[in-house]
Amino acid sequence: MKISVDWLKDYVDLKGISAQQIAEKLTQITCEVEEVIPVGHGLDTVVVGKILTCEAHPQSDHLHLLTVDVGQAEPLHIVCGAPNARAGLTVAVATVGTVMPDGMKIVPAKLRGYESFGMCCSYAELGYKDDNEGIIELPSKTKVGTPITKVLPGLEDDIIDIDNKSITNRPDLWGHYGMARELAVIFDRALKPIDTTLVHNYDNLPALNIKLEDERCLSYGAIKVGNLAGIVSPDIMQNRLYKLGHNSHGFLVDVTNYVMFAFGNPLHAFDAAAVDKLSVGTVPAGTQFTTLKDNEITATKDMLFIKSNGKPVALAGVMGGKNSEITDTTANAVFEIATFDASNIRRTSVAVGIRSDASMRYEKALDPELNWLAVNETLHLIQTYAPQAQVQSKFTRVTSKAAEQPALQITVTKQMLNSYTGVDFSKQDALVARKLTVLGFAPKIDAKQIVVTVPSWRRWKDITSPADVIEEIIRNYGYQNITPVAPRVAVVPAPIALNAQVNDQLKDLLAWNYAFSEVHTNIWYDTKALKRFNLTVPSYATVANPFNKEDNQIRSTMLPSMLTVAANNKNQNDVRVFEIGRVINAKGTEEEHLAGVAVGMDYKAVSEMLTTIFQHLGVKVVYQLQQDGDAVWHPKNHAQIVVNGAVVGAIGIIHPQVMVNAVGFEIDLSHIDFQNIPAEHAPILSKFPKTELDFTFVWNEHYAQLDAIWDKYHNPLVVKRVLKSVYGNKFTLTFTVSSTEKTLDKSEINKIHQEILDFAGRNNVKLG
Amino acid sequence: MDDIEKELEQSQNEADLAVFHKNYLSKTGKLTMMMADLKNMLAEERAEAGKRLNELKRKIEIKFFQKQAALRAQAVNDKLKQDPLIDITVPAINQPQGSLHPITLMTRRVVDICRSMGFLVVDGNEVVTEFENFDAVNIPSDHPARDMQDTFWLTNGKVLKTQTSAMQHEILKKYGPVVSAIFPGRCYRNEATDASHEFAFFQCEGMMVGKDISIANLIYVLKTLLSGVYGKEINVRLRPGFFPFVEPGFEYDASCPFCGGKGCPVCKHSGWIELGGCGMIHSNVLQMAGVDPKEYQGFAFGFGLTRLAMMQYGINDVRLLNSGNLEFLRGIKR
Repeated sequence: MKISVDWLKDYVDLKGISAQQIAEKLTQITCEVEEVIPVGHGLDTVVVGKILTCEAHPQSDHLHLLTVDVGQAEPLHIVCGAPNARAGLTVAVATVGTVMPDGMKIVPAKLRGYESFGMCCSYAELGYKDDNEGIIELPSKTKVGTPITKVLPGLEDDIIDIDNKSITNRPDLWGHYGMARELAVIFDRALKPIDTTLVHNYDNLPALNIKLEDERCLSYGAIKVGNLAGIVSPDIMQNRLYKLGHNSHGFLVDVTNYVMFAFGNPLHAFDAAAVDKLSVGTVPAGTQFTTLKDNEITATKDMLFIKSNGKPVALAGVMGGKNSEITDTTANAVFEIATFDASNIRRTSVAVGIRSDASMRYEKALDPELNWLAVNETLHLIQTYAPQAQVQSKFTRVTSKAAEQPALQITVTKQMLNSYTGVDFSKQDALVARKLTVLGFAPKIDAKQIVVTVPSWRRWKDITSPADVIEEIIRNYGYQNITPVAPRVAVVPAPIALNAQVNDQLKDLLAWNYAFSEVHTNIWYDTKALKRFNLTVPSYATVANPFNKEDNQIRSTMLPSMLTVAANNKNQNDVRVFEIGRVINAKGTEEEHLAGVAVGMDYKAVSEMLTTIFQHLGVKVVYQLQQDGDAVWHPKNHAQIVVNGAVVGAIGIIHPQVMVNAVGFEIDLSHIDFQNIPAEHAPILSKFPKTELDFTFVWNEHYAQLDAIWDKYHNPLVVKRVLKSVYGNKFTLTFTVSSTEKTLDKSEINKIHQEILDFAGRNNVKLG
Repeated sequence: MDDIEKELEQSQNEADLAVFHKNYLSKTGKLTMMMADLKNMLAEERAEAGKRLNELKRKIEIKFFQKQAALRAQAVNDKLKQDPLIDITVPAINQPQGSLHPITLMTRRVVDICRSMGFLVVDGNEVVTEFENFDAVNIPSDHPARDMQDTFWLTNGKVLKTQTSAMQHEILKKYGPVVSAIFPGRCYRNEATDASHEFAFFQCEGMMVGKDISIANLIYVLKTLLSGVYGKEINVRLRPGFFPFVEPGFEYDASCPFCGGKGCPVCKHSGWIELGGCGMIHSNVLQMAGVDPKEYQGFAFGFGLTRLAMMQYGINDVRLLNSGNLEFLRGIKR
């Protein structure tokens, strides 16, 4: 939202305060200023001049040769192309050296053979208003040589552009008067009170016929004014609107915009000839409506309309209708000054796709009391600039129950203020009282507490709790004045987030010990990639509004994501990627998975890697034959990963039709109990010699089964068993035999040897 | 005697020494034999001769070991002379090329300093309920804030969390009312991607709730956290800001860690970096999580881990982070 500093000065004395200072303080205390845009600065060398002579340029059909008195010893020779240039005209002359608002520099120039020492300016050229019809025609008595900045009010200004998002919670700041109040508080200046008695001069006139059919219209006021045809908006009004980005649309429309920007309450003007018996309410769903900007709208049952004799004439709070808009010939107008339920306006605005200056304000929850400021300013402008106008009705205003909010008092104890802010406010009563008073909170302060009455303009969805009042105090105290203080809390150990620690260890091991790179992928399947891999994978959750229509399946396995990344890195050597990420399982619950793909690493290296890594975490992984594995795997060479008897993942060679020479793995970390890892004991070292017994077994099943068999063999003297080597179906196991008490003699060792052989025999494990 | 020493001196290598040892010092060596012969002598002669012979043998043995050491040292030296000269300036080649994601690296910096301040680190879900993401953090169904974020909705009514704030409710309920926690996490927004927008990005949120937790505490924690992350003194400034889940709410800036506040391209020459939002947790948020706002109060803060990582590593296109591009990822090690 743009704010004019020149306009603010109507309401608050800003003498000696620069636009930069205003911007800085607003940013610290109130809202975010995006930029300060200087307007009309550096135009001191544009002065009032009088055209002494005006002759046609001999070599041009539209140029004039002028001599212009600008108060210097000699009149200036100026070549001018304006159609309205004529002798005797009082004009604005940009003398040599002036830099125009569009950046053009005025220099002595030759135009078709004639020298020119300046330029007669139009309003648009000076950036004053949207008028490029010809050069400015000033009143003839304007003193020659006067700088133009002294003649055109508001020419020199600064526009402060405020980030709308930063005032979504401040409905009171959507007009100049509200901003002026903030500045009055910030700089301790007086805020000009607004007289709202003018409207009552017309209380004796007949009322308008207005019916409120819907509680979502909080207040609806209207006043009829006649004899307003053909009035041109005064310069100051055009200029102020122009600086905020609005061109003039005639006096009637300009007044409504002007009052909105002044006080924040949107207005609408109807052609009085097009409206009668006004009512506010809904229309049958499906009713067609055309706005004054030609948007075609189909009404829903929830949209609020202003109706004339039951027919919609305006989409409430959003935009007026084509059927009742102000035209060039409108003489009599009905001005609407109303307040609507914020949520309703917001929903309507979103539904019809129109975000107008009005809807933007209404959706913030405006104060219905603003109506009075707005109607007074409207009448004031009409009296000032259209004295011939006739007010034809009283300001007729009806309100709904919702508009009648009882006054709200809030008590903030000083103990709470100090505790909440961490600042000692015990000696700050004067500051607190001063700031809250100008903000309109009528504070009552005693030794223990601060009692405020929330002003109507902060009463709607803005200030509702003590914390809100504390914010008013602390922001005006100044955030930069708060001394940081270390929190005083009991020293209690934070619960350990085990999975975060496990994840960190897994990541470190994979990255630094096995040269894997951690990648990040989205939680949904990349459908194009699945097609490329010719993979069908299950999904148990669907995105209702995906960005790309086909990518709407939430993954239940991360392997495709890893394969996609691997495939995208074809140009890289030794592609090894992993991620710890999320999936949604068949039960619809979220799981944390570790998945990875390695290209060019053989199966054994990857399976040994997982064994080692999980050993590190105290978890024994077992590989188990998998029947009917997913299509992603090599039909033979893949396995289930089993931890504590439960299948938690899979590992295997990727099916060569999906990816050649790649091994993948995926483990559901959520289902591994890292919490209850058995404590580890240091190995018992024996000073007596160890004997290693090697046995080679012929085993035609998977090793996992052989391993499981030997897991059941126990002899306290057999302290270790390892797989030494594998040749085809021949598995060599080494059993270490040792006692901590003595050197075992030959017969004792032989006894164990025989015991192992017997155990093998009992379990159908044949010696190789 | 002199002859024996001479013979030892003439030994050229270990083999010669071995021969010498065999001839004189071994079980069958001359000196050993002479010792054995002593028993044939007369008792009165034997003592004297034995003493002399022992001295002789000791002397020879010492000389032998000295010679042996000298020959061995010489052998090592001779070998050193023949060893090839290694080019010690050649760097490691064919190193394993593992890497951790920049977000992981950045998160660890944050988590380390927060743990040191006693914060619990919580890992949250990516799929959360509409209640957790919005209602529980004081964003009712018709609140404009629901428009500020383009949410991915699941057909089952859940959402991909749009903000780490979605975890506040669960954490307060589970660990509250007195709790200090940070919760880094992946968030999703449904918006067109470009150099500064990605569907998935990481935020980190923190909160502290207790009896007397204040705005002054909030500033202290932010300052300590950021100073820890960057390993240097960072200043923090608050500005008014509006977030439905806090009251009062602030935006906060950090003095630029890259130029020390002097102005550089990272901070757009302002000396300050806009980091995120923070504030005192809204009483509605506490209440909904079963924490009595009359008894307890606290602050919450958030910032973009993705943004922090991008600034830290000079990443100018956010899409690189989720690209899986190994050339990019392998280039960042710490």
